Parts: sequence; structure tokens; C-alpha cells
Amino acid sequence: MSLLNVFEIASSAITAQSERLNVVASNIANADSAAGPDGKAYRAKQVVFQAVPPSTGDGPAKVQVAGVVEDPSAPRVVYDPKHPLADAQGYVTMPNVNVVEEMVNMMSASRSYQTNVEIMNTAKNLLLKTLTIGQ
Amino acid sequence: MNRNSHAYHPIMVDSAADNRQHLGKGLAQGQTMIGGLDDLMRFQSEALRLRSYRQELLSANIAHADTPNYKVVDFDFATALQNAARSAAAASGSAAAPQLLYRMPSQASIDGNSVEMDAERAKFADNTLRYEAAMRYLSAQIKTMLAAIQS
Repeated sequence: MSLLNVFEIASSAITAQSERLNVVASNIANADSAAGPDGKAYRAKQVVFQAVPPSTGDGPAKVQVAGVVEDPSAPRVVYDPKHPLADAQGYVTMPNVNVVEEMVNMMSASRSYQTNVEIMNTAKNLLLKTLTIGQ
Repeated sequence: MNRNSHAYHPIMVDSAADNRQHLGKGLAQGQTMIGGLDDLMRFQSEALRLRSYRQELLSANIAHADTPNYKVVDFDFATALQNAARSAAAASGSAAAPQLLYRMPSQASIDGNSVEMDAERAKFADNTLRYEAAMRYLSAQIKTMLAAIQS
């Protein structure tokens, strides 16, 4: 029953997008965390999505989060001599989070989430209507 | 004599045999009738099967809107339905899966993903509508046959 697979595919996408939303929340929340658990500034994280083909050869694939990678871009350096973490020259290393980019990421994730919810609703309506064939 | 002796009259036995022959004919006709109903609904049910498979593919395309290097997959519905109708006419029973093709994006993206959300959403809505149309059509065929059976 192909239409039932739509639920699995759309829900895998919803799970992946919600994980992306989690990572965005972490990045925005830690945009000013000068010291993490390792004593260094927080580094922005990004999720990488991956297509998982079904076990039965080709056909529509589900979405999976392949991993969460750290943003390799250089940290933001701010001049603030009064900061307790400032170095000898008075510079503080701040996280490399780009808040504008993260907001865009958040909107994209939320739109994708909504789209997949709509797809599940459409599939549900179609299945319900299919049940009434011949009535 | 009474009616019971009439009931065992040889003529009645003959007519009973006639009845049985008639029943046998009716059964044979009924079998071809079921085959006829099957043939009547096969085309629309094949169309529904392909529409639901396409719905699945399009939903996978939309689900992978943010997956790097994902290529949009679809199939040509007209060709697939023609093939399915042909293999159904050949009475092979099991129709082959349609041949999947990659869609060329009108604007390529830098991460190798070829999903164009607007196009996919439009195709998804179109396919939903056509699925419902095939469903209505099948429903109407069943209603027609029911009317023929009950009148």
C-alpha cells in the first residue's frame, strides 16, 4: 500500500527537521557563550541530512540525520579588556554563530516541517476517501 | 391422489434436472460475470495504484528538500499506465513497477540537490486531485454495476 509509506517518509522528514530546529535553538541560545564545557567558546553546529534508500532496492527514500558537524568558520573576536576571559591584548573569543543565518535556518526548517505535516494530512484524506470507494 | 405423488412424478424429476442444468449455466455465466467485473475495474484500479505510488515518490521528493545531493525522482504516468494496461490485458496478473527517472531541475543548486519545492508541491497537488478523480470514477463504475444488479 503505497500511500501508507507516505506517512513513514513524511514522518522521517519531520523528525529530521525537528532535529535541525533543535540545533538552531542551541546555536541561537549559545550565540554569546564565551566559555563552553571545555573552556573554549561555543562553536556553531549544523545538521547534515541523508537519504536512506529502502531495503527493497530502489524507490522513495526516507530522510535521516547523517550527523551534526561543527561549523569550521573562524570564531568572532571581540575587544573587551574588562571581560574575565580576555587575553593579554584584551580580546575575547566569542562563538562563530551567525544569528541571521540561524534565523533563516530556523524559518527554513519550520516551513519544511509544515509542508511535511500537510503531506501527511493529504495522504490521510486520500486514504480515508479510498475507504469509501463504492459506498 | 395427493400432491406428494405429483411431486414424485417423472415429469417433475425431469424438470428438476432441467433446473439443475439451468443452475449450472447460471454458475458458468456468473464466473464470466466476475471476470467481467474484474476487467471493468482493472483499468481504474491500476490507475489508482500508479497514482498512489507517484504520490509516495512526490512526498519523498518534498521530504528531501534539504538533503544534499538528492536527485528528484518521478515517472511518466501515461507510459506507466499504458504498460500496466497492456500487461493486464496479457493476463500476466502482476504489473511491472514503472521506470523511475530523474527530473532535470530548471535551476541547479550548489549542494547538488535538485528539489524545486514549488514544482514538487504543484505536482503533488495535481496528483492528489487526479487520484481523487480516479477514485470517483471507480466509485461511479461500482454504483453503475450495483444499479444494474439491483434493478
